[in-house]
Amino acid sequence: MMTSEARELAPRRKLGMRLASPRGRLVVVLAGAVMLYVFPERLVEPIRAAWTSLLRPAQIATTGTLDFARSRWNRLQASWAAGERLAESEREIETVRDENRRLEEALKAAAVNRDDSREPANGAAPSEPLLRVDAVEARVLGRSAETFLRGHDLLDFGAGKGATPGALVVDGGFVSGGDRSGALVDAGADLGLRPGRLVLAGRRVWGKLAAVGPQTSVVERLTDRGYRDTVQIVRREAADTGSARLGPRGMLVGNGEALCRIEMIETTEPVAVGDEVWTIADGVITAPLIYGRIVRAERPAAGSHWQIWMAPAIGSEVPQRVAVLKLELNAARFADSRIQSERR
Amino acid sequence: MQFVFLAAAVYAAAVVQTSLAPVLEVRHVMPDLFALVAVLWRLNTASSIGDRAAGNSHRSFFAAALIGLAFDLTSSGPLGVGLGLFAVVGFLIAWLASKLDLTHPFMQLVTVFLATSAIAAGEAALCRIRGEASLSWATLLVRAISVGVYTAGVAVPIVMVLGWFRNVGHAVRADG
Repeated sequence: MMTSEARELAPRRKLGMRLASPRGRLVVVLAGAVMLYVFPERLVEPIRAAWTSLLRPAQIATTGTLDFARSRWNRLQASWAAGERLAESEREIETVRDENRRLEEALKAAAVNRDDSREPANGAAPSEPLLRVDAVEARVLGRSAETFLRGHDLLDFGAGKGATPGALVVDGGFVSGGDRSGALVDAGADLGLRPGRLVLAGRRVWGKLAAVGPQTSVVERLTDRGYRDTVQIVRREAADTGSARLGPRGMLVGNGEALCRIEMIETTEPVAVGDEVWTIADGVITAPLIYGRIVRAERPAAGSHWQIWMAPAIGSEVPQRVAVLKLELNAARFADSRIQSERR
Repeated sequence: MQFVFLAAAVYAAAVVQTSLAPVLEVRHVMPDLFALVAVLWRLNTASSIGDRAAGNSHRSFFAAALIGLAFDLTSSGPLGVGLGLFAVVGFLIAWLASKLDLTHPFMQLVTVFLATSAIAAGEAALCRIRGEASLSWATLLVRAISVGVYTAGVAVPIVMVLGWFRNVGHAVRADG
C-alpha cells in the first residue's frame, strides 16, 4: 500500500528519473541553451569579456611565438637565398677567374710573339736608327696668297749682273707665274725643307717638293707632267684581314692627266686592276704611303712591259693642309753612341 | 583529474582558434577545434560505457555541452547555440557508441567528421535563418563538410596518439 506521502512523491520521482535519463539530460541542456539564447546582451557581455580576458595571456604568448617563428623562418629563408646567391656568385667568380687566367695566358703569349717580332733575326741588340722622319705641317696657298707674296719678291742680282731699269723679268715656272703647274705651300727652307720631299695628305701622297724658297715651296703633284717616283705594286690578299702581298716595282710617271702611268713592269710580273700602289720602303718610313690604285692594266701583244694606269688615292681634290716629310739625323743615335764610347 | 585535462584542452582550443586563425584558414575554412575536443572527449568516455559507471557518461555529456558554451563565448554569435548543438551531438555520439564499436581509430575519425560537419552545418543553418549569412544553402553545406574534413584531418595524429595511450593502458591493466 502506498502512503499518501509516497503517492505525492511518485510523480516527482518519476520526473527525476526521466530527467536522469540521457534524453532528459538533453532536454535540460537544450532548455538551458534556449534560455541562454534569449539572455539579454548586457548580461552576456561581462561573461564574454571575462572569457576573453582569460584567453588574452595565452593569445599574446601564441601570437608572439608565431611572430618569432615567422621572423626566424623568414630569416632562414633569407639566409638560404643569400647562400644560393653566394654560391652563384662564387661560381661566377670562379668562371671570371678562369677567364682572366685564359686572358692572361693569351696576353703573355701575345707579348712573347711581339717581343719575338721585335727581335732582329740574328739576335743582335737593337740600335737607334740613323735617320728619323719628321713631318712639317704646311698650308696650301691659294691665288690671293700667291699674288701677295709675289709683290714682296726681291731679285738677288742688280746692275753688276746686267740688270737695268725696265728690263723684263722672265717667270722661272715655280714660285711665280700664273701658269705654273705646281702648288704653293707656306713652308720652306726656314723649316728645314729640301726639294724632293714627299708631300702627304694623311697617308696619301699628293706630290713632292719641286722647289723650296725661303718661306714657301712649290709642290709638284703626282699627276703633273714630269713627276716620277719609284713605286711598289701591292695586292691585298683579303680586304677583311688587311694582309697584303708585295708585287713588282715600277716607275710612276705623271703626264698632266687625271690618271698616272706606271712603267717599267715586265709582263711576266703579276699585275691586276685593283692592286694598290705604295711608296718604296726605304728603311726610314715604316708605314706604307699610298699613291693610288691600278684602274687599268694592259699587256701589249708585242711589248715586254705592262701598260698600267693608276688613279691617285688623293683624287683631284686640293687639300687645305699637308704634311711634308723631312729626313733628319737621329739625335738619339748620337747620344747613344756617345754614352757607349764614354763607357768604353 | 580528467576534467583538468579537458579544461586545458578547451582553453588551448580557444587560444589556437582565436590566435592562429589566419594560419589555419584554408579557403575560408577552419578546423573546429572545440568540436574536435568535445567529440574526442565524448568518444573516449562513451567507448568505456560498458566497463565504467554510467555517471561517467553523464559527466562527459555535460562536459560536451560546456565545451559548446565555451565555443559560444569565443564566437561572436549569441550564447546557447553551441551549447545546444554540442549537447545534441554528444547525445548522438553516445547513442552511436551504443550501436557501433567506436574504439577503432578510423571509426573515431568518421565520427569526428560527421560530428564537426553536423555542428558546422547547424551553426551555418542558424546563421542563415537569422539572416547573418547570405550564402546559398549549397555553399554552406559544402563549407560544413569542408570543416568536417579539415577537422578530421587535424584529428588524425591526435586519434592515433590517444589510441596508443589506450592500448598501453589496456596492456598495463592486463599485466596488473
